[in-house]
Amino acid sequence: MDSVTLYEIINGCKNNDRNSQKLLFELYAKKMMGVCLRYSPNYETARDMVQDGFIKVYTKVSSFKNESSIETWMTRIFINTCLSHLAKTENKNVYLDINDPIVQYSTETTIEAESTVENSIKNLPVNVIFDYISQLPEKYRVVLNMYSIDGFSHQQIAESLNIQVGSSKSRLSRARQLLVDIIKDRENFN
Amino acid sequence: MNTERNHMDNLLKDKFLSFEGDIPMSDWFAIEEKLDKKRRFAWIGWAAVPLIIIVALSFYLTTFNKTNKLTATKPLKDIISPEKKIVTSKDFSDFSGKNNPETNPEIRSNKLSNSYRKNLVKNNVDLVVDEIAQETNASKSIFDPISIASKPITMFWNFSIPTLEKIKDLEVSKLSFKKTNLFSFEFGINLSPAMGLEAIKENKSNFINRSYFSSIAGSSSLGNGFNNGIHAQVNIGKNWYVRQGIYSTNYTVTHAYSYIITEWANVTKNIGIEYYLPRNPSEYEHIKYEGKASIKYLSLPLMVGNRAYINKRNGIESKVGVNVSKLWSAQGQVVNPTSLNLEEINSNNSIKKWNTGLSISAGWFFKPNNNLIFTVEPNFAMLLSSAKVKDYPVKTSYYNYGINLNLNYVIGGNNK
Repeated sequence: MDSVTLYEIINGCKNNDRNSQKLLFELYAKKMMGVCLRYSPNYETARDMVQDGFIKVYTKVSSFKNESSIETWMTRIFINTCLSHLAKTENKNVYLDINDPIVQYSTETTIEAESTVENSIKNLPVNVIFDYISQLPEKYRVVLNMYSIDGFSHQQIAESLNIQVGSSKSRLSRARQLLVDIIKDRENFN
Repeated sequence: MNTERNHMDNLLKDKFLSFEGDIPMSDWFAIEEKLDKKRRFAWIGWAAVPLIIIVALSFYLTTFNKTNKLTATKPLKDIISPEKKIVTSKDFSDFSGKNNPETNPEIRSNKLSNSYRKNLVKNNVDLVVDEIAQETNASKSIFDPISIASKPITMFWNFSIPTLEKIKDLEVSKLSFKKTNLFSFEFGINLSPAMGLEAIKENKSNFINRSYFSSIAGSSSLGNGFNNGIHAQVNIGKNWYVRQGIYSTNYTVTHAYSYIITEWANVTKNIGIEYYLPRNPSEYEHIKYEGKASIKYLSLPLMVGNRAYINKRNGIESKVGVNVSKLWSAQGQVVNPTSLNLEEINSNNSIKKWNTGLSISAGWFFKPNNNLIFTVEPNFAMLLSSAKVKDYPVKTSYYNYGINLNLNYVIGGNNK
């Protein structure tokens, strides 16, 4: 980064300086790609989300007031971008139904099994966990990402997704169950 | 299953704390392209602001006036009543002797005409008198308050007395009053083939060889171009208007310079060329170059115009305005008077991005009906600021001249 500080980069972005915008991209593109990958159904969509997210960041950077870290601020913008993307393609996605075998099976999951799976989560590489989370139906995956990883409350999730708080809770519960089932299945638990 | 934050959530959060994904650098170029596009459209957005204001204002004014249309159900003799202090029925019934305004200038000027005229103007009303005009065989134009107000009083009397006498007791249920719509709105398109002229006007330094300067100052780069775009205007009354447009101006300029340097210039560092010495003919330097440039501007002309009617359908339209234009794209070559050669436009930022200009035009307009106005007018425009950077030793001025072809559509108002 030579002698350019993050503060200077942000200020440059506020002045629409192309070099600063590029530096900000180089600094945070991979991190934000990680965020988008968690929410998107595939890699190509995640790339689109990253591009749109950075455009929004450059457009809105003048409103960034240093009250939080730039990374936290950007992450919020990228999550919103992802949610907008998903909302646009919502009708095109096929969700798993309650009658889906995997969901029926999941209702039999016990607390002990969940606890065993937690140990696996601790030990498995992040890419493997990511792969398992990616297999969740979108509406469960989104809530799991928002609540468990990104620290949103159910109230915030409900407002962002335009659903009831109760729906957010039940989706989270279902997402956890499904994740446990997938891990058990793939890691050959008895 | 518990929906509160649990150990599993914390594990996931920790796991993904430093989770990253690979992204190709080509995505940055895609972002850059989108940003450029956004900037361009942002400019269009700002450019559209005055246009939108004019459109909104015009629609407001035209709509407002429509809602104030009144229908009179009273006889004309009551409308033109003593309470209003305009014309009394007595004025109609007795035109003999001293009451005859034809023969008594005092009445003509003070009692009736002036008060009637002033009141019409004051209340800004428009008499719609098709029916009356038909019944009385009177010219409809005499009831037009604008024309009454603008005509000499004697004319008013000459035309109106017999008519007023006939209509004084007429029941005019269809007679309607409406507020005069001072403003009306027009929008239209502009198509203007034009010629562009890049003329070297001034040698600002003492370093340019006079042979060269006289050569390039004597010739100009001539180009052809095209203006086109949309505009909206607010008409004030029947004759005046303020127009705001968004036009695209595209020029292709061909440079063809050929000159011979016949002198040696003695140059000193601070003063420049102090004096010239003649060369031998064998030492003459023949410099020749040709090039082409394509320059596109997006411009915002703001104009004040006037339409002088020759008759109901034809007239002379003239307008003058200022023009702010922004360089949209430039390709090709321009003359660099420092290096005495052509150079790429984009390599040295030699074209100014923002320019101000003046334009003037006058021509013929034709109204095939109440809503359409077609205009053909010669146009002349120039940039006030030089299109070259200030450091250049030669000042260059840009002109263009051509024909404006406008087709406008009129909404509302009394200028029909």
